[in-house]
This record gives sequence, C-alpha cells and structure tokens, in this order.
Amino acid sequence: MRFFFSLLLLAFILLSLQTTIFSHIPLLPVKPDLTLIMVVYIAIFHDDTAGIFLAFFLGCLMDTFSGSITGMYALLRIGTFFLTKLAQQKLYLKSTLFYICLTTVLSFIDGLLVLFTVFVFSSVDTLWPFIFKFLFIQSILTGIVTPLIFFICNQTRLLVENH
Amino acid sequence: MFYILRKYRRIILTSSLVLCAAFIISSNAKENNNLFLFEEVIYAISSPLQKTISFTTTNIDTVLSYYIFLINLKKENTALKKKNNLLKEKIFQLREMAIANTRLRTLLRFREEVKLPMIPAEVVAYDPSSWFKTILINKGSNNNIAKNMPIVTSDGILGRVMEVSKSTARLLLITDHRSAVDAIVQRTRAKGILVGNVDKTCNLKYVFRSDDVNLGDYIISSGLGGIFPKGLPLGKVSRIKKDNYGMFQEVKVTPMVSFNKLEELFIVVCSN
Repeated sequence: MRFFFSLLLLAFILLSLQTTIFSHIPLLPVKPDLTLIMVVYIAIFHDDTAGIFLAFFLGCLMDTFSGSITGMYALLRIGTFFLTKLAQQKLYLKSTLFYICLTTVLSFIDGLLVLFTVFVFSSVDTLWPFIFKFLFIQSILTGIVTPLIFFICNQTRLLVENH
Repeated sequence: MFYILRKYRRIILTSSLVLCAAFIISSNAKENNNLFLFEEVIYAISSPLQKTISFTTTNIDTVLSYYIFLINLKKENTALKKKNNLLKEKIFQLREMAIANTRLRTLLRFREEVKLPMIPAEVVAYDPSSWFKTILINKGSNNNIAKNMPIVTSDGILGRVMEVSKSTARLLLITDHRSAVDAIVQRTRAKGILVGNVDKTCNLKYVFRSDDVNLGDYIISSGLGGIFPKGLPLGKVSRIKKDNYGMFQEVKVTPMVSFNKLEELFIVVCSN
C-alpha cells in the first residue's frame, strides 16, 4: 500500500517536471513519456492486482495534467500494462537493453493509438508527417530515459521497504 | 746592513708604506685622470666578478619584486574579478528589467487599443503530452473566468478557455487539433476555418480555390461563432497548395504568437 502511494507521488512529481522544465528545452520537439515508463516498470516488477490499479491511476493523472480526452490515457496505460505482461511472458526481460527496446516499442504503439484517435476525432488530414517527424523521436527519447526512471522507481521501492 | 734591515724591518716597512701612500695621495691630488697600472690590473681582474655578482643580485631583487608584485596583483585581480561578476549580474538584472518594461508597455498599449475588458494571467504549466496543445494558467472561476473565453496576447489570439477550476484554468491553444477558429484573410476577406496541427502550425481550411490568398497574408478572426472578437490577428500564410481540381486550396498558417515564449496573456471577459 505504501509503495502504491509512493509511486503515485513520484508520478505526480515527474509529471510536474514534465509540464514545466521539459517544456522549456528548446531542442526537444517532443517530450519523453515518463508515466509510460513507470507503467512498464510496475508491470515487470509488481503483481497484477496492485499493478493494474496503479497503471489506471497513472493514466488518470496523465489525463488530469494533460488536456487530452479524459480517460484516454487511463485506457492506454492499462493496455500498456497488459502488453508488458505479455512481453514478459514471451521474451527475456532481464537486461537494461531489453527494457529500453520494450519501452521504445510500447511508446511507439502508444503514440500510434493517440494519433489514430486524433485522426478519427479531429480534422487532421494525414498523420504520416507526424509519425516520421515526431513519433519516432518521442519513442527513442522515452527509451533513452527508461534506465533513469527505472532507477528512481527502484530507489523509491527500496526506501519504502526499508521503512 | 742586513742586520740593520732585519732589526728595524718593522719601522722601515711602515715608513715605506706611509711614503707610498703619501705619494699616491699627492699624485691623486694633482687630478690625474689616468689610472695607475695597479688600478688597471685590479679593475681588469675584479670587474667581471663584480658584474656577475651585480647581475645576480639585480635579478634576485627583480624576481623578489615580481613575486611580491604578483601576490599583490593576484589579490587585486581576485578583487576585480569579484567586482566584475557583481557588475555583470547587475547588468543582467537591469537588462531583464528593461525587457520586461518594454513587454509590459506593449501589453498596456495593446490593452488600451483593443478596448475590451481583460484579465491578465500567467502561464503555470504546459501539457505533458506531445500530441495535445494546452496550457494551465493561474486564474480560475474565482477570478470570473468562464469556459470558452478567448485568450489573447499582444501578438494575437492564443486560444480559448477549455476547463476552469477555482484557481486555475486550462486553455486550448489554436495549434491544438481540436481548435477551430472562424477566420478571414485580412487583405481579400476570403473566409476559412483555422484548425490546429500536431506540429506548432495551423491550417486554414475550406478556402475556395478561386479565393485570392498569397504568401505572407495576415489571417484574422472573423468574429463569427461568438467566441473570438473580430479583427484580432491569428497568423500569417506560410504555404499554399492549390491543385487543379477540388473545391478548396490548402493554406498553411504560422501563428503570430510564439508559444515557446509565453509569459503574460489576457483573458477577454465576455458574456457567453
């Protein structure tokens, strides 16, 4: 329970940083998706029941901080959780490189789903320029930041367990 | 003879030397500028040694002077560097104040020109997602902010209020794909709908192929729809694509507002 709330608090802090500091980095056209990385971590290292609730609440947090369609990220995070669980059963998920690759692929899928929603519900004519210009960069950026977020989550877990 | 010399050698020696000295004195008393041979020999032997010692002494003295001078110089340098840093900081602050002054004067002039009731606000946070373009401001329903109120800056229209809480409000920017603003081309009055793109530009849609639109044309709000006041700048035409078929032409618009440099903005208070 304590770890549940500590991860929520960590997600809150990371999202606050994402909405302020990351937005002011001029060279970055996109931002890494930190809650997605946290959901991947939870799916790999935690049990199903608590994990899925956490993924749902992280998605709700993302919906609150973002101006997206409410509930969209909550649904996407649950999907990310299950995809990670599936990958964990089928693939060797024990090294950092695999975590980076998995997060990159999941970020790409997540972005595709969001863009598909955008395409269906708005008047955007074509998505190909955005996929090639922004989605690839965002996925790679999210993958690069994965080890750092995993480390922070690990440290949080150790801190909570020691207390 | 030798016995006498030996017996009185001291007196003889002393007397000789006194006489010699007297001779030398008397010779010098005549202001003779020529050196004696003895003097010349002594000079010849001693001068190189003297020069060496003098050179060494001078150099040691110089090095010591430099060392002491450098210590003082170093102290002076440190003090000057500290003062320089303080002055640089002060210059930076003054420059920032000057820029803020210019910006606020522009905003004040804009507010006086537009003649609409407005509430100033500041940006608190940006959207964490890369696909949605919204921002959070520090005013809410406690400040009489309501949904769908337009947001403007001195450069032009920024967007409209999307969600309101007690102390904050979320704004939908014109570059968001869900935004649609009724607009016209300022020069020719051609009509269209300005919609946002996933990148930081907009498209002016439903512009007839026969309408006259050129690169660099200004796009302004038409006032239709009841949300945005008429005549406020939206953007500038940056690209036109006109096919040989179809009803409409594709017009890409770069917004007037720089979304990376948002600081102060105004919410136009209007009754919905």
